[in-house]
Amino acid sequence: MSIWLLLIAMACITFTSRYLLLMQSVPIILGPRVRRVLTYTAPAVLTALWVPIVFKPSLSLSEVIQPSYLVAAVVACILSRLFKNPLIAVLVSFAVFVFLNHFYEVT
Amino acid sequence: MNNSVSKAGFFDVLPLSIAVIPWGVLVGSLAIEAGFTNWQAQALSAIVFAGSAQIAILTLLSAGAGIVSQATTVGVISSRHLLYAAVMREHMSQLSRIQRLIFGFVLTDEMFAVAVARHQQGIKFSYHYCLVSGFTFYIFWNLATFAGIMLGNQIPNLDQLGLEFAIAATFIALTVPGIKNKPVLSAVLVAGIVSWITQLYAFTGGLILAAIAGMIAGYTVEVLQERSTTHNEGKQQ
Repeated sequence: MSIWLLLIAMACITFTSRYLLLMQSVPIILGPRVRRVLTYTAPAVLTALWVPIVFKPSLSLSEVIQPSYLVAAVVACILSRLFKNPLIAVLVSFAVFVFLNHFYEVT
Repeated sequence: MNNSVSKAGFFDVLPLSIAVIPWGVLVGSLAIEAGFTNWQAQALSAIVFAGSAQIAILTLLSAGAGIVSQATTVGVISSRHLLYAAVMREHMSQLSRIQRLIFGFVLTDEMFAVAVARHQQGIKFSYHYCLVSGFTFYIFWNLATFAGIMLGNQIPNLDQLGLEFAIAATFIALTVPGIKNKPVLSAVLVAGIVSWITQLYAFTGGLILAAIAGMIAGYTVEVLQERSTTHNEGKQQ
């Protein structure tokens, strides 16, 4: 039962964060300066999300720079600039990652 | 007319929907490991529909964290959606409350990313486009979770296969092509570095702090660039 309560509480929190500023009744007018800051939302948030996955937060360099993550991330960077379709970058870099990870474990 | 918009919405979000499959599988299997029933695990994706918050809560549950820290974590991780909604707010004025509620429900990183990319190409905001991409993503996310629930019962240690890299690859593919000028580059660098440092010290609000720092960095560089060009133009005259 407590898991269901947890689920509902989570749904309320996440939905509120999404809906709150969409509401007409929330009386916020965004000025031109705030709007210009907001144009950087997508690159800033998405980068803040992926960097700690690729570079594990740690004080030991060998944990921060893991070959499979680093190489696959570089492949993703290059392919995403070469091809307009992001799927190519995602699929190929993930394949590289899985291959290197496997290789790494075996050796 | 709606047909071509639907197609665009579907095909633009399709790569991201496929890329998120490993992550959805991970969420499904983690939920089972955390002691959820199959129905509860599926409901997690169906009603919460927030990948990183789902992973965080499952990790916290396994670690035995208390309710306060669970709620705080979910709130802090979700807070980036406040930014997305702030960006989308200007397009909401013509919509009814029901439409806005539905829009809010499917406002994810991925839907936001494709909607913003489309807007940058100079195409007018389309509610229909956003819903198609939002719900396409929703269906993939839930099917992937379902697969994870089924697999999670069979494959142990699914969470140690590095499936989370797929989501990193997706976000790289969404951000890197957009780095076309110094302001965006600054935003990305600052957001990445601040995010990494705050994660190192396990600071819960790190994500939103990093995002805001990056956004302000981007804006600052943009303003500085403007000033230096107007300054140079002044010199030439």
